Parts: sequence; C-alpha cells; structure tokens
Amino acid sequence: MPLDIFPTTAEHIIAATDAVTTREDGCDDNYVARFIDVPQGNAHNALEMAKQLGLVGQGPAPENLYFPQKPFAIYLVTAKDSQKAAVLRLVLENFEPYCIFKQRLAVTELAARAAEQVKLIFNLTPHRDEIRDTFISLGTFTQSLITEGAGLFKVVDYESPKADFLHIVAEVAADRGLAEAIIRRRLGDEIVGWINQQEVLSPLITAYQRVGLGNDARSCVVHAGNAIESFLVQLGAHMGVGLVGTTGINGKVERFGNQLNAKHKNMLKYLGHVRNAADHGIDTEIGNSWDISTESATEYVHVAISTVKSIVKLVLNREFII
Amino acid sequence: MSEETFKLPGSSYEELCKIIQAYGKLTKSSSLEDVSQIVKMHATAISRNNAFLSTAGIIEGRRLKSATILGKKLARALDYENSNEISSAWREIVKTNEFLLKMLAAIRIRKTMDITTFQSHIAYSAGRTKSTNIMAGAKAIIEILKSAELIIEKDGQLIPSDVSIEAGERLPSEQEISSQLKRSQEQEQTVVEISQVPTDSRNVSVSIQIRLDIKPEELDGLGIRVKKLLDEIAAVKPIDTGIVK
Repeated sequence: MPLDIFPTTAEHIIAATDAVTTREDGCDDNYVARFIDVPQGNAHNALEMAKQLGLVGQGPAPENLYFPQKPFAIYLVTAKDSQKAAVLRLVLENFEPYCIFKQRLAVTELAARAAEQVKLIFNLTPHRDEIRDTFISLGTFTQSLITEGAGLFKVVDYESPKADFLHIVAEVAADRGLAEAIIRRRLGDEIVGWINQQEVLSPLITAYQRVGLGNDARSCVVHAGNAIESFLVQLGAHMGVGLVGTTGINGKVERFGNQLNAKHKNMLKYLGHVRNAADHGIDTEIGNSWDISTESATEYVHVAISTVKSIVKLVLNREFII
Repeated sequence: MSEETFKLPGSSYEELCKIIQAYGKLTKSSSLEDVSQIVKMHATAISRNNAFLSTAGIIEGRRLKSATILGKKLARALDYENSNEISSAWREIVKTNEFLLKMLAAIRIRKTMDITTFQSHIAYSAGRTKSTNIMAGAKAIIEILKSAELIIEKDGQLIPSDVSIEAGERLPSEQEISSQLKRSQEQEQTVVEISQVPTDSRNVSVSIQIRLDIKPEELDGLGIRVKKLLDEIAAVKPIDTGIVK
C-alpha cells in the first residue's frame, strides 16, 4: 500500500473505525457516511487515513469493502474516552510520514514547512496544508504535539519504554482480555470451542465491553446483533438450512422452520426485533425511530449470550437449558 | 450517502447577534424581508444564517420564522447586554446541539488549540471547504463558545474553561475546594460555640429582612427565584443546639 495522507480529523478517524467494526462482513464509505452522519467524501478520507494507520483494511475490487484491523480497531472502539487518545497515538507513532513530520517540526519549528518536507520526501500528492492539518489534528488529539500559540507546535518528547500512553494501551488490552475471559467463562469451553471466534465470539465481547462503557446503548445492540446473525449462519450451515437471500435475524430464524423450537425462535425474535429498532432508522409502523435505553442494551447483550449458549447446548448435548 | 452537513453561521458573531435580536423583537412569524427591515441588513445576509439559527433552536418556522422561547431569552439578554444571561442562553443552546458539543470536546481533549487550527477543525467537521465565508462562520462558533464561557481565549490560544455545561456553574479549583473546606471547618467550630450558650432557643423567633437590589431586566422570573429562596429558608432544619437539659 503506497503511503498517503488524507485531509481528516482524529475524531473522524475514530468514528469511521467505530462504524467499520459494526460490520464484520465489510462496509463501504457510503455506510460509514450514514453511520457517522458526515458527507461521503469526509467518510472516505477518514477511512483511507484509518487504513494508512492500520486501523482498517480493504478487500478486493470491485467492492473495495473496508474491514476492521484487529486488534487496534477493537481496542480503539472499546477503550474508554480517556484511553482512545493513547491507542490512536500508538498507531500514529508507527506511521512513518508522521514520525518524519515530527522530526522536521523539531528542526524547522514550523508545521507548514515540516509538512512541505514530508510531501517531498514521500512524494505525496495532497497540498502541504492538508498534510499539516491532518497531522496537527492527530498529533494534538493524542498529546504527541502541543500547541504553543501563534500557529506553533512542539513535539512532546517521550522515552519509549516509560511512555504513559503505552501503559494506557496495555490497560486497554488487559481490559479486552478480562472481558474475553468473562464471556468465555460464561459460555463455557465447549460452547466457545464450537462458535466462530471471529464472527460470533469477538463481537459478543465487543458488545459486552461497550455495555461497560455505558455511553452508546445502540452500539451494544448492533455488535451483539451482528454476533447473533453470524451465529445463525453458522447454525444454518451445521443443520443444513439454506439462508441464502435472507436478511436480518428474523428472516434467518424463519428459514429454520421446525428445526428450531418455539422457545429458541422467540428468544431469537426478541433479539431480531430489538436489533431492528436499534439499527433501522425510522420504523414505518410508528413513523419514528427508536431510542435504546441503557438498561435494554445491557439486557440485550446478556440475552444474546444466553441464547447462544442455550442453542449450542441443545445442538451438541440435547440439553434443554434456558 | 449523507450530504447533510452542519450549517455554520454565514456571518460574524456580531452580525449573528443582531439578527437574533431582530427575531426577538418580532411579535409574530415573519418573512426575511420583515427581519431585514428591523435589523437593517440585506435579506441574503440573514438568509445565510437562518439554517444555523434553526438547527441551534434559536428560531423556528418554515417560510415565516419567529424566535423560539430560548431565542427570545437570548435576544433579550443581548438587548440588555446582560452577560450572565447571554452566557447562560448560549450554554443551553450548546448543551442540546451535538455538533457544538463535539467542537467543545475537541478543545477539551486537546487542552489547548490555536484559533486558526480550531477554525479549520470546525470547517472540516462541518463538511465544508475553507472559504472566507465558512471561516467567518467557524469564527462565529468560536465566539459562541467563548460567550457561553465554555472556552477562554488566552494569549491567542483557546483553552477549555472550568464552567460545567450541565449546571452552568463554574467547577471549583482545587485551591477553592481547599478554602471551602477550611471555611466549613471554621463554621463547624462556630456551631460548637453556639451549642455552649446556656439558653433555650426553641421559642426565639428570628425576623429576616431581604432587600432586593435588581435591574429592570432581572424582573423576569424574579417571583420564581424569590419563592425558591423562601422555600429554601423554610426547608432549613432547626439547629441542633446540643443543649443538654
């Protein structure tokens, strides 16, 4: 991938990465634009810069869909607000044009001059002001640069092994590890061994972490709902149920017919309907969109985990436990 | 595709305030031309700001527009140059506007931003290119945050203030917390001294005279404030004198 810089802000990069993590099967810039409510051009620039930083990847043409790059995309969206800057800084400090920008800034003391030099060194196409603005936004957000006034910026020195932000990133990773351990214990080894790790377990852990953050009820439902839909795809393949052409949890549940019992079907329907409320904008029945309460989001994630556990126990051992 | 971008003001903060004051003077929903006659500005200059004023909840209506309750409060405060009421009204507006809250968060997380960097940030976040008009609108947003006392300009840099957006109250500094603690400890000592007075205070009546020194523009809502004060006094529990009988 050729190195490049795109005009964007740290906030847009975080929001775009967050949007991408809600679609394990990939998404385009149109989806991200709608998800974070910015023009498509802004979403595209944020995604491309996130790709440069290694937060998202991109699939092959013609779809060119964006996918989350683990683990840092997940760290970024599951970190507390106070930790996000540290995660972003870690990936930023590993981006070569930014490292050179900092070096040139230290020498020239002028951000515009440093940006011009970075443009020359890496043979970049954007205007130097765009390079400067993007790096200043990222650098100041992550506390890698500090404002000195009158358009001047100073590089914050850090001694790598002692840098605070590395400790914070380690905390974020540890938080993820702890959340994963809790979900694994809750499901049990047998269930964890059966379900798809990337498409079912991982979004369930993300949903659980987002519940803990308590600041975005909708995203808890979206991540847990994605896990359930992927789980149904896995279950369909196991039971020989064709799900081609079905969309959403409710559509997939119907395809199972008598192969799923009424109790499990209705548990899944609950998960399907709440997910639709969280994810589908205006509900034509009420002519309005639904808000998701923190309590509902918390319950939803726990019901999702219990439903997966209950169905897999039945499939593997003929155990009837809800 | 989302083509919707945040509509920045199309004028300087000063012009924006004049337009708000004009809307505040209207007695009914009115056209651009009516507002133009009051504020003595061309209708296109007003029109450039209407999308922002509507988004911010300052005006409402379709072709004919009028000030909202909050818009009238702000307009009145601007008329009387009442800085407390102006900042309070702007804070209410910022509190309910996602874009303005994000702009405030941008400064809070960075701790310091210079004005031109913040102007660029606002313009880009609003999905706009950096034209003269857009940068003027971005500057107006900065002035709004300053008027709301949520950010402070110091030596050409913008820093977050210690005013809480929720309550509109200033967050006390560590030094102030420490001195408040000291005062409260001193008051506790005073209570101890009272408790040593060997009299029965249960039948003592206290007459409190309250003198209100107010300006005409503070008359609005005075009744509610006085009632609140009286309620607070009535709610005070009798002092435990600690007298042992």
